[in-house]
Amino acid sequence: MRSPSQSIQDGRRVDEINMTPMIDVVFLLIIFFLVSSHLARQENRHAVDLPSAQSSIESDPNAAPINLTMDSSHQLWLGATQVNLDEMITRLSQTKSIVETPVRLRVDQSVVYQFVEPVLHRINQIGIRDLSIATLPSSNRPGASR
Amino acid sequence: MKRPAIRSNSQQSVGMTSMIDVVFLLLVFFVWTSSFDAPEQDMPGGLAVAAESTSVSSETLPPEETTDVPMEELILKIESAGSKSVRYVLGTTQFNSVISLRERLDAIAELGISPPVIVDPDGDVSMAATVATVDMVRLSGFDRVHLAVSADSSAQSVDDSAEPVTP
Repeated sequence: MRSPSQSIQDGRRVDEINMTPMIDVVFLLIIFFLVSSHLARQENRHAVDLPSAQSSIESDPNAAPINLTMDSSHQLWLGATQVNLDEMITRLSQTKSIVETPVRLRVDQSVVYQFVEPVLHRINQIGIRDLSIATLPSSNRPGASR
Repeated sequence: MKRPAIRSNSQQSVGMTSMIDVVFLLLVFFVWTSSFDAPEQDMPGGLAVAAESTSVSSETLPPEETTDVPMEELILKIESAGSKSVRYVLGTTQFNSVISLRERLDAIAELGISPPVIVDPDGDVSMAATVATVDMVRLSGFDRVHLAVSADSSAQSVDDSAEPVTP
């Protein structure tokens, strides 16, 4: 940091500190931590093309659900980590209090049900009860005839 | 902030460098932290496990926790009818269009009863059609909607088609 400069006012010596570089550095640090935490949050799930639905349930914003994702090539992702079905079940089983932990199943809308059903069955087998299916909000009402 | 220097000719010049620095920092901050992903929502994922599967699950869980669907449920099957179209079978009645199914569900809901509905898609029905059907049933006033899961499904291993790609 720049050393305090000295100026003379009314015959007295006054020290001045230039605050600009310090504010710049503080801003940079704030942005660094905010952006890094934001990116870490985004890496928690794998991007897929979710099906659309109009109805939804209220989810607890404070809950930290486990994201299970199946992409269009039927590959499973636990968070952002690619796993197979047995590995996924093993990891879920080792999770503390998995029965109460909310689990979100994010399946690509092009995946057919025969690939989803085994996952649902294994999830049910290990005792997960708080299961939800992730969707995107839709504006048009399905099957609306009037 | 340092006061602008006063020149001898009494013209004040404002230092723009600091302000531009801050503006650029704010711009970078908002661009990086804004998310362009569509906000996701959740649909309840209740499961109705077939009886064969119940016996398997009962090794680790009490049978009453395996499924809470009573006997008087409605079973809605989704069958594939072509490449992209589906047809519906509610009980024993077949519906070729989603509109006619919707009308029937609304008629049942208007009776004041809302039995549990088990949605049973065929294996070749996409998740888009499955979720749309569950959504339609829920919008008709049925709160308890379950996805049918059979014990035979566990024999089909997802691993065969979903092996992790090792770099």
